[in-house]
Amino acid sequence: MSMAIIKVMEPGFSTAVIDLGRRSFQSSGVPISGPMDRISFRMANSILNNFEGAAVLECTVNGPTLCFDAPTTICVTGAEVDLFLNEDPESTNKTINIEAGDILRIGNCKKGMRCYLGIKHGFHSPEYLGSKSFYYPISPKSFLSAEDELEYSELEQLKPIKQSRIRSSIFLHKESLWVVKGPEWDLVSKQEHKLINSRLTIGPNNRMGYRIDSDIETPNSNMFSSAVIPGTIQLTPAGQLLIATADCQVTGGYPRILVLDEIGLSILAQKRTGQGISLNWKTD
Amino acid sequence: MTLHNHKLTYKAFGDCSLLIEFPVLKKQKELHALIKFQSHLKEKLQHKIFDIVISFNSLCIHFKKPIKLGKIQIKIEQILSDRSYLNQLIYPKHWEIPICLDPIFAQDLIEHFEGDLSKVMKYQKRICDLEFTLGFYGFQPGFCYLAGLPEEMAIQRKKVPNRTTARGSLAVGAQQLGIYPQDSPGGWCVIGKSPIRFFDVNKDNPLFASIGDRISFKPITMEHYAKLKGLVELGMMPLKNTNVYGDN
Repeated sequence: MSMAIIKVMEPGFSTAVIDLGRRSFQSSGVPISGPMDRISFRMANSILNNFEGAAVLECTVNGPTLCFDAPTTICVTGAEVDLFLNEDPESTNKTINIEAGDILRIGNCKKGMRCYLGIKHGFHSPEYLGSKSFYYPISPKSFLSAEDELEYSELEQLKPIKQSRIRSSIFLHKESLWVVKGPEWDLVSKQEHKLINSRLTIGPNNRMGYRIDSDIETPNSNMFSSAVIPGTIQLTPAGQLLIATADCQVTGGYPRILVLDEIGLSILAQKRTGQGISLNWKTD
Repeated sequence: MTLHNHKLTYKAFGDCSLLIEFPVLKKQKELHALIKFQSHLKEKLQHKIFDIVISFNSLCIHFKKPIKLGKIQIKIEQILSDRSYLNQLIYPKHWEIPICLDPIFAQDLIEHFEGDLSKVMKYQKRICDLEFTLGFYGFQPGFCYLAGLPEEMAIQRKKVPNRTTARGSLAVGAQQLGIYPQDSPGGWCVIGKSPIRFFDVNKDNPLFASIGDRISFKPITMEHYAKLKGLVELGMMPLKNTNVYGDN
């Protein structure tokens, strides 16, 4: 297998190499930095029959334009996007064969906010603390820029495409996120009706977290910092909900009132500012 | 089951994490017991977990697979029932960290004391007379939480955080003391600035000190700060440490 190069022609709004992240450095204060939408990340690698943690490109809002210098197979999952191979339209959620010199353009995310470009055998970027995931200052940068180069494995023989397209975008339409009680739930349990089954609007967000306005009265609590995991919903002193996501801090000082599960986090990762969600109790 | 005579409370945290809570540990001996507890659990559970994150009042075990609270609690209590792990010795180091207390690096503290510079200097001097224990890392890569701040020196977190707290800032948040290893937004009250690089991802161990180590601060002038900063930029680590013997 020889190494091939993708040249980044246009980087897109915010495109990053992402794998399953750094799981064993949390006690050094290092965030996990896994995929925001783990369902679509997994889908990309399973369509390509890759190992489960193969590195992909996570593209937010709109995608990059890339030039490949050798044959390979790719696929794009997650948000509904316009996809062009040498300016001919292509489909998401299926394998696409690439020849040397091909140019792939990933356009705007139309439904959802993040799409995932998987490649056969994964991207071979350098690892920092055991992961290829971009996270500054652990990795030298947070996003791709034009002229960057990405390494991948050249495929000598491309298999003809036999798969049909997988329908997977159902969760892009979902608005209901399952939650369980967090460690400090008791502080707000009397205000359950303001949180559970009621409509909430998404505020500013990034890979660290999503902010959501609420009318919860904040309890008096002067907490010492304690562990936070992706999915933790903290209540800030200003009454905002702060949902911790992929690049979240490993500890925090606000009450952890609820916790989202992995499916909920994936649904959330596809939502943008102004869209609605509701939190619902997870039942076994 | 107890940790240094404190009762433990077990809580499920999401699907895969277990949170063990206890009253806030303030004494050096208690923190050392917690560090031994953490490393003992890490050793016994090593293949089942990603990591164990501690704080002054909790220990959080991040498992690789979903857990059942009742079952895992029994398992942890079994592991803890052999108390010989507490006899392990730990060998902390003492670090003396150069810190520049020039007003230019203490704007938050000046604001806190409403411009009363004599109060500012008195507070800074007390910090430099004290010795702290590195309790744990959290918040961001290499951010260390130091224990040992007297209750009356606590300063509340800001309602609206600073947009940027500079790399090297020494800051107080409630009854915790911490050092910012990178520029980042910060809600703590900055009292001075160190030229040292506290987290270096290019090293096998990116951290400068271990949990349980003792930390004190040595005031330096602006000129000395600039000189040390130059050395740090050349890749040097102008930081002294000494072994603390006979500590348990």
